[in-house]
Amino acid sequence: MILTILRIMYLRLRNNPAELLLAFVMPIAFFTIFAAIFSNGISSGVEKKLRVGWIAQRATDVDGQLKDFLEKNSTIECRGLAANPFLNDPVQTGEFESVTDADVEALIAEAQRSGRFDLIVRLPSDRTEDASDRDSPARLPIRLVTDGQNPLALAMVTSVIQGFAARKEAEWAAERLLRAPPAPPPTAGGPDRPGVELPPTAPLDGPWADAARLLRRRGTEPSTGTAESGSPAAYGLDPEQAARSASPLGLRLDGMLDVDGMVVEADGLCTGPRFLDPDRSPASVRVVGAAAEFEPPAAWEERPRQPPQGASLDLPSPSGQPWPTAAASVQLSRQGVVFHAAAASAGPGPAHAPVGRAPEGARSAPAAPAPRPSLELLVENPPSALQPNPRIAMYAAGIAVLFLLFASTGHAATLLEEAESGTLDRIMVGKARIFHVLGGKWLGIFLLGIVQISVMFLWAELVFRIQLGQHLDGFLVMTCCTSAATASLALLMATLCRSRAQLHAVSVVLILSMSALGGSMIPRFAMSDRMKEIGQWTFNAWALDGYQKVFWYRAPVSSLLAEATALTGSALVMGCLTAICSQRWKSA
Amino acid sequence: MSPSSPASLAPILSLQGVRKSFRGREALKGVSLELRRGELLGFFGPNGAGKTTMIRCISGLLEPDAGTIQRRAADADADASSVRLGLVTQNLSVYPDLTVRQNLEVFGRLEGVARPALQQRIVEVLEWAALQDRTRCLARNLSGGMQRRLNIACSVLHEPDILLLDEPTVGVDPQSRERIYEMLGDLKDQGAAVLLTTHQLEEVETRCDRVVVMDQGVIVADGELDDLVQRTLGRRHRVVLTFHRPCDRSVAAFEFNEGRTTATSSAASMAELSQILSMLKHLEPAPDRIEVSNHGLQDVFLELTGRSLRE
Repeated sequence: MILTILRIMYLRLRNNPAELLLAFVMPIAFFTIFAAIFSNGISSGVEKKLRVGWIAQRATDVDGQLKDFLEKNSTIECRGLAANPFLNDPVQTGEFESVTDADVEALIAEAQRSGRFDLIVRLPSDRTEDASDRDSPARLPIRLVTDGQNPLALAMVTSVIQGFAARKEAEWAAERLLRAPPAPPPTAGGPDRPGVELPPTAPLDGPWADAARLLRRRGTEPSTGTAESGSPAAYGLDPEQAARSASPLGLRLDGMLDVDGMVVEADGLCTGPRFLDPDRSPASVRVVGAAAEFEPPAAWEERPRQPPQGASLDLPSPSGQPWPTAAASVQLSRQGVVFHAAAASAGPGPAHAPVGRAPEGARSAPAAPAPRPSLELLVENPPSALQPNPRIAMYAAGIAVLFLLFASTGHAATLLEEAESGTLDRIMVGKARIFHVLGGKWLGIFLLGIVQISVMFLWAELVFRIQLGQHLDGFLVMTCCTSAATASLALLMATLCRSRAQLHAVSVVLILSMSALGGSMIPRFAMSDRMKEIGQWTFNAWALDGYQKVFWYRAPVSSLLAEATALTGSALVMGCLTAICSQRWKSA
Repeated sequence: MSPSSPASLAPILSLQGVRKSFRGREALKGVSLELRRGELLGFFGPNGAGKTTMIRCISGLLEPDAGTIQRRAADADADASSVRLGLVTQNLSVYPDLTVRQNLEVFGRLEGVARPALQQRIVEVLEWAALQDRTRCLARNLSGGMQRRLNIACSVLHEPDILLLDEPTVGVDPQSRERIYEMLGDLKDQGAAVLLTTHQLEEVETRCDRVVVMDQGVIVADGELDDLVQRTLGRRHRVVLTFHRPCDRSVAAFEFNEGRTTATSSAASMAELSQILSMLKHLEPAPDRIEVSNHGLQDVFLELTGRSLRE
């Protein structure tokens, strides 16, 4: 009997080209549209750049540098708002003064309506001070205009501009240090004790103040120490080193712009208390930051891995004596970033330390010249990230589940159609029972679902090369579980509803809601954690998570236990509920 | 099995005091009925009388609240479940998007007809329903009459002993209706017990062996037509006089309508009818039309169920 019901479904489908179209061709068409949209955007190997518009109503060097900075950023495509060059780049044209607020606002409004930009950077003319005065940095307001369509745009551009600002601050700090007069010989530790006065107590002053301010801005409060100025202990030198040190210690500025942020990591190199830590005390002091225009001294040219935009400066010692010969190299490692602080040396050349974590003894041992601190970023891609079009498989699954729900509900609606026409009565008068009818329909919807999803993925394999063959086992598991859950849900809805019209109304609302929450319409990775949690109540989410494991993470079949259990369990529960609700059709 | 054989006289279906209620409303109020082999039973009643409920109870789709429904096999030793039942619902209970042959195939299988015999049986039924040249036609593309015949054909593939038909001739032309009654006649001749509900009274008068009238869940009349007329109306013949102008004279044995343009009388026998007609020879003004007819099922039906609308 079940097979006969199954045969009826097959014959009806075969005799209905429109239904076949809806079941197989329509999902493929929708999926192809989705895949075409996303494969040229976020889902392909070629990532879409953030489109940033640029409009300036002032002309300062800093603004020009900011524009260059944005244009050189690989994740940003920075363009002027208008075709008129003087509006786009008044700095270059020198006509910025003729640009009025009304012009700019009209340009921004037009640009937003056109959808050409994710975010617009506007530099208004209402600056407070002259930026050229480096000793007194101007407040240069930057306005970011966004229509909110790309929620990531604001965060990304803000981050980039903050990075630029940090760089500029570092440059200004270093520049102040360069222009500061040499510190007087220390007196606190005794007139005969060489050294440079450190910031022992607050408030910091002198050349250290800028570095301290810099650290404060970055959230690192330089501690005040108790070291005596000029004390060898203040520089972390043990008595033996201090004894070898015939010359006063000095400061060294070392450009480290390529490792921006290290100033915090390496605060032990430039803040007072760190010098009291004998384990982390360097023989020289580095203040992060660089003056772009400063050329490194010849003695430093031998140093490997000199960052191109960096610069180093050996400050003259306050006493005019050579720098100490008690060279040491210090390596600090934090959060996986290894960098080196080279020892100051007045010898024939700076020492070099090997890259990497230095042994304990290396700190005080004279060594080869240490390389400049450098940050090496290594992006490690799991195998999943290297396969082509993993997201296409996700869209295939999402669209397949969405249409599977609609198609399954449509087939389950035949139950109500048969009840309304009396066909179900005729069947029940014969040998068949409601169990056979439901069983046959469930089996039919289940098999049809498998075929429907398979056709979708075969199409995706043919057109988008999703490597279906490599994931066949996981695909079959997820497809069977998903189809089973879908069939049970469709039949449950059909038994709960009293008419096809009611079923249609209920199913449209339910399916669209489930698909939206479950990730069939919007990828789940783009959802908030809260929405992801809510989505877990839909089996779309379970299905898509399972397909994601299979096609994206290349997870083995055993890892699909949770998804398979959730889907199969829901199929069983809904099947039992269907059996209970179908009692109204049970024959006497 | 011949309808005249001894077994045909025994009821194949018996209902005793069947009651069925829906949410407090009693649809069947103790229905008792018998159906014999080779009998074509016409079942009448106003809409909402409980006919469909009774058919659903007989077919097993509803379980009665009280009373018994018994099927009896021809062989006394055979199980009652061996009595095959066929149901033709009021709606077209076939798959519109299957062909004629496909419909017959799937319903034959659902009725448990063995696969080897099914093809032969389909050929027979196609010929019986005059659909043999439409086997590849989708059911939805058939004419109304053909669809009705297919609807019946799908219910007889398993050669039912009892065939229940709920208004099987709704919306079909006279030719198709005639063909359907021929088909039902064939089934009756083959020994099947046929119970049909219909509102086509004239054809039932001439084709049904017995008539049952049901009203408000109760069987109010059960018997052959002549008996029903005699028991219900008492007089068999009817005379109707029609005048172009209102007749201001009274006529013995006739009742005039309100406009006095129509007068009606009835006679219990032919002798009485002759006497009435002889009185009309001297009637002034002479009637423009004299119509003599027998009382029919409609008269009985209206007499039993009243003329007021039920819905």
